[in-house]
Amino acid sequence: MSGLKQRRMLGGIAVQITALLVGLTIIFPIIYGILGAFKSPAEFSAYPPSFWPKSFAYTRISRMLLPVCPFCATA
Amino acid sequence: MTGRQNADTVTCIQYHREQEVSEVQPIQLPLARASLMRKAKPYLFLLPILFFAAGFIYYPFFKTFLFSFSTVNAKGVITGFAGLDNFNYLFSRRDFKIALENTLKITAINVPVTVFITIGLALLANRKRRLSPVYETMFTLPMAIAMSAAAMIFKVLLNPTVGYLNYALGLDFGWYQSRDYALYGILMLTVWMGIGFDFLLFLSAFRAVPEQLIEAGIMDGAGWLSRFFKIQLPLISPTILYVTLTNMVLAMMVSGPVIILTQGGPARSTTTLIFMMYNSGYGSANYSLSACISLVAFALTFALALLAFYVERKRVHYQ
Repeated sequence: MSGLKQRRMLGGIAVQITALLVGLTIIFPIIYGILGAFKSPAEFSAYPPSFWPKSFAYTRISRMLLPVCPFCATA
Repeated sequence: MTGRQNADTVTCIQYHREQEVSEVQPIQLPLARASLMRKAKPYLFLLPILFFAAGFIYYPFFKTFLFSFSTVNAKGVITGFAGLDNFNYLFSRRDFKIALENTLKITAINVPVTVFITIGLALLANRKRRLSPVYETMFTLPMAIAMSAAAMIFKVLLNPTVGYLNYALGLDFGWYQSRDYALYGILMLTVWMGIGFDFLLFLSAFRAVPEQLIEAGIMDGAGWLSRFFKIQLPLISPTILYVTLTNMVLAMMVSGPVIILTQGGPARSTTTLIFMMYNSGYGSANYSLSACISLVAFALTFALALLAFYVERKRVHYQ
């Protein structure tokens, strides 16, 4: 592989990694919001705050979905 | 005669009748009437939308204009002519000056920051690569989030005690509770919300730049920066104008995040013109004051749009 081609390939990889990191920064609030939906009220207002829920709590989501999807109550 | 023969006969008679009908000459309208009909036809097609525009755009605008020069009671009924008194009262209020200052500050920061960030993102995603669909989706995702949901997420994220961003960055101030930072908290949200759509517009503009122009630039020895400033930027200038204008209008009209996050506080540090209009109209039933504020906001937005169009004549290049 020629030096120029190799440099171009490395440049492309660097651009893609940068774009992915920037993309993750941009969607961070969305991910945080989605993960927050699975936290229990106590965990949601706990200090220090956690990014990842310790245990996924589905109760609030199933309660919200109940009017549109009755079978979700058992989830 | 069988049923089949009966059906054939009926079809035959129908066919002959249709032939006779088709041979009848169309009635010739008088020439003047036909010409009038031809001229009126496009307006008739436009009539439904004109009806809605008149009812939902021009009539409210006219009524707002009327309210701003009148005294209006709490039921929204005009009780007298006020002349310029409403405007004099508005301009003498301290909170109006603060709201005007905040609105202009939001516009002055929001527009260039959004344009700068989205141009950068579009440049990053300009060339199609293997992971392009992944990060293009990431960049456009904020567009899919409702403003109220985004505002709630930011409220939690920037909370002084349980907010993850403060915790991760080692900060301890309340973005929406501090007089000095609340406006920047609102700005963070408005910029974030504008990223998705503006990125898409810039990406399509960059990809529409003819490849042979870039190649000609490379052959002439132009570096990356000069190719960007001398070829790409002039060619995407119509998109820059469009994005700047729409962002300017949106920034001048910002009120939703303020209503949800801060209610104009703390100490009016996030009160914007439209929030003040909303508050005096729906909060205090002061409709004439509310109408005055909306007219001032309209005049300012209109002036900024005119300025943008003035710049367009000199700086925007159409292919």
